[in-house]
Amino acid sequence: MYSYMKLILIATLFFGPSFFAYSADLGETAPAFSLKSISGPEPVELESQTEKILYIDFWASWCGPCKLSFPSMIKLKELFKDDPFEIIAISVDADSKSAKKFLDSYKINFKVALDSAGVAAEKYALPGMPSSFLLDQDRKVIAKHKGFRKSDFTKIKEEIEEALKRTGT
Amino acid sequence: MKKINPLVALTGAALALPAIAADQPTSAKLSFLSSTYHEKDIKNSTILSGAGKRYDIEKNQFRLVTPLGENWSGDLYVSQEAMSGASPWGTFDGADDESSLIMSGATIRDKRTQVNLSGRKYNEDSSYGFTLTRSKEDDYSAKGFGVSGEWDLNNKLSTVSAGFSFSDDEIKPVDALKFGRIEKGKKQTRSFAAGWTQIINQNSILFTGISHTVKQGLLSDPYKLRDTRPSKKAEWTLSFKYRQYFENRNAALHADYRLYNDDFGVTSHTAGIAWKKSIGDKLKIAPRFRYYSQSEADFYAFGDNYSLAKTEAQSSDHRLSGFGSTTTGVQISYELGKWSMKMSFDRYSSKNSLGHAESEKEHPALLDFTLWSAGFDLEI
Amino acid sequence: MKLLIIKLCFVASFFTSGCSSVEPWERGNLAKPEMQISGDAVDDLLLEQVFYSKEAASGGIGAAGGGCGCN
Repeated sequence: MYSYMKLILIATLFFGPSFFAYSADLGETAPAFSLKSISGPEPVELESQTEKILYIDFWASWCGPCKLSFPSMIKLKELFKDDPFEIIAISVDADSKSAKKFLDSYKINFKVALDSAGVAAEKYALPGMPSSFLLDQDRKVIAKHKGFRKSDFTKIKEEIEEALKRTGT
Repeated sequence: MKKINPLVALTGAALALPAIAADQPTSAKLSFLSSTYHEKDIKNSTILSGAGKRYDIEKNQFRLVTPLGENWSGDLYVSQEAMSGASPWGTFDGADDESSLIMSGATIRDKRTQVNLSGRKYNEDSSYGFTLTRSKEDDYSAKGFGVSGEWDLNNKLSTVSAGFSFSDDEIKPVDALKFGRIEKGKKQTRSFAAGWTQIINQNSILFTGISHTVKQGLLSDPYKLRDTRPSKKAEWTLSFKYRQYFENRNAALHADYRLYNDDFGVTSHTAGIAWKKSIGDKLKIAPRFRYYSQSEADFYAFGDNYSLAKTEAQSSDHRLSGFGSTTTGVQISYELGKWSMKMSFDRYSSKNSLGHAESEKEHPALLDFTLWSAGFDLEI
Repeated sequence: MKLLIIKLCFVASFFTSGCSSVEPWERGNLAKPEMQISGDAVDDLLLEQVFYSKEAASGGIGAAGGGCGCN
């Protein structure tokens, strides 16, 4: 009786934590995804984003710091509106109604996708909430951010400028 | 003949422990709560002398929590209360006669003000906070501080917390000369708490905590006719707080338990349960129930014994008797944009027989009370 | 007694292995205000004060952690 239990006990302790096959580490190609758009019928896909610097932000209506990151993202998009730069904000809210309610208080100028099942979130192995990834035109991850503080805005802005410079635009 | 219940006042000091820290606030919030507390009158037949009208308290609480810069938050809490009523001075254990309570005289009034000022610094995987507290009323003042820390482990699945608080209290009983009361008393409280919070799964979380408190100085009630308690007291608690979310019911279950023990000989169990139900996205209703039970202190006696030397420990305080209590209540809140209106009602009832280790004879001062509250939260 | 300890570990191992599967993006329910370990501070202070002045036991009210675990 005990030996079985001991065996299962050891097994759960060792193999319990799940490890991800995917990740989105610096220098790697960011995992592809195809998600429902919050605003229209056509899906938001990563494959379709090429030749552009892409800022992907994972957020949720229940996440406090996400309230700080939205005004910054709106400003970033505004700042780089003439450049090959795109933002995709991916909501991991289980209920899309909460995501929509959250967005009501902002004038969103970028694409918002829904990942209520957490498929993309799992592929990107988010280290925290919010998490963001900056991709170059080859879909390589060139910067990663965990959490959000107001001062992150300048850092992200510089990273985008740097990336745009490298693409020669 | 003023001020009869110093234990009411002691609370300002005891609540200095600032271990209550949530996620870093991203916007400021102002809260206001106004409450009316009413104790049921004492049965006239149990009163030997004095008034049977017990405590009424009107209380207003304000709180402002605000982010300060990127990494700090500030928290200002102010409460004011006006109390009036009478409370027990002593008991006389007369053979079979029911009347045994010696109450204070007619209605007396007092006011208490408490201010807590807290700050907290948030780092990526930890936070540190402090609280300064001050409480004042005519005959009682308390100054205290607290510090606490919180450390996230294992990608924030676990949180370890620890806190220390200190309070320095002074009591100057009113009419000390007239009634032969002690003129001035001091008390110091040191409290240490540590806890572990664990996310169990997507819908449940468990907190386990311990605390140890040492009180030194005047622990007796100077307003009672005969009340002598040891000048040092050590207390321990072990607590569990469990939260479970039920998605299909849109509700959260709260289940709390606390084991308490002190070297006055009191052991107590406190169990609480609440069902926090959301109806639509604006209305919340939360019925709650709490059960409390304590054993009597080693030196508790139903009747005051005047033949015992004044230095011998003895107390007829009903709060040191063996009894139990139930509290049944409900809280309702409604969201209106940035406003959240809230209301609650609780009814408390205590009895000898509800306890796990009841005293031999029920203390007539064991009380019942009702508590009404109404207020709001405003996101700024 | 030994069996009891093993049984307890057995149960605990389920908890801990269960714990590690709650990813940052899966904490929407845990982030709800009604799921916090410490409730509304003003309400808590009021009740604690009332009970403190009527009963011998006190303490052990502070708690930390929980929430969305946001960064």
